[in-house]
Amino acid sequence: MIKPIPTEILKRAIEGDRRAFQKIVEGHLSFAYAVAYRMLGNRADAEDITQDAFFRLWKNIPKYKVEIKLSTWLYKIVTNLCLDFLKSTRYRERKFMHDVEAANSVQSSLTPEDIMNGEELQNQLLQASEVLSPLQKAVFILRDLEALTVEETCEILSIDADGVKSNLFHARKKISATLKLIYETHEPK
Amino acid sequence: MRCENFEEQIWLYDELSVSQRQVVDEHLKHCADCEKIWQARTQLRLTTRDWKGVTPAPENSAQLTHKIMAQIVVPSMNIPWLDAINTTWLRYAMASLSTLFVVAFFYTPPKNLPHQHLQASGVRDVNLNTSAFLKVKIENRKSRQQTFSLLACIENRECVQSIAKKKKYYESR
Repeated sequence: MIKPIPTEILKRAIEGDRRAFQKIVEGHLSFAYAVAYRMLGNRADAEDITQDAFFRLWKNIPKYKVEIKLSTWLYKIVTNLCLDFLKSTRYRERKFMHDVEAANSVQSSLTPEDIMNGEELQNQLLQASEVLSPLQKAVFILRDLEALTVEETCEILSIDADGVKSNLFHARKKISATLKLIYETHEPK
Repeated sequence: MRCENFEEQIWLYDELSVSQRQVVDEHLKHCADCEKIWQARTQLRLTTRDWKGVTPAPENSAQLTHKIMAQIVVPSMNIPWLDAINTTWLRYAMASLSTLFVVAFFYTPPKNLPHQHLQASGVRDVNLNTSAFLKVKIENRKSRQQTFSLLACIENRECVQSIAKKKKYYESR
């Protein structure tokens, strides 16, 4: 849960106070990183995106309007950066190489006990979400994992409610199918 | 309504209104295929709930914060003359000046100076011992002049020649 930033600190940050901005960074770092990591599935990339997101937040903070929640604004920055990254050639090339290497080894090395383990489960879901389009992935993460409202998701991704629902439907269906495949592969014989 | 239409509604069950949910619930009672979809949806909901519980965190939050803050530069105040003097050489100059002040602050003058005679502690005034000062000063000047003239003469060819001339003159007399 993100603690709301006191208005005084927010005001000081808008005026260019570096220390006040550091308070914002400390308060929002974990959730910005979590979103980036869930979107990209890679620590180094998630850290890069988090850094970039806060830098953009600092650059644009004088334009900040108090009507919008700061966290929503930061979600928007992080998500858009992730979407751009997922569409980039760099990501596609890396994903291709990773898929070739992991095609057999990763799945076969897991036992049903591993699947029950939280970290392994997270890895499996990261793998499962790889089958989604960048937008479907963003909708799934924001709506199902970050538990944002439809309105917030619309605001962050600049799409309407029907768009959110449609992407969420396809995302859930695809992830469920992938998980089913994973569970069937590791069923005890 | 056909099963294909229900499929989307099952996957988006939490997004439906109460009345829409009732319709879906009613259909599920009689449709085994849709019931399977419902079970898959329930399984996914449980899995994502578990996934939500494991929040990925950066390996070193403090280091990441430091990296972020290193990029953060306070914007210029738009005062041209202030920007103009805010240069590297000025920083060095200020640093040198600060060092000079520190050295001057801790510098203790050598004791027993002839021109300064410190009174006992607690007395603020300092009396100048002018006679002692002048005596040493005059002695210094005399010795310096003598040393200087001899040395200067030895190094100066004309001076040596003039001494030689004077010597000849006195010998001839």
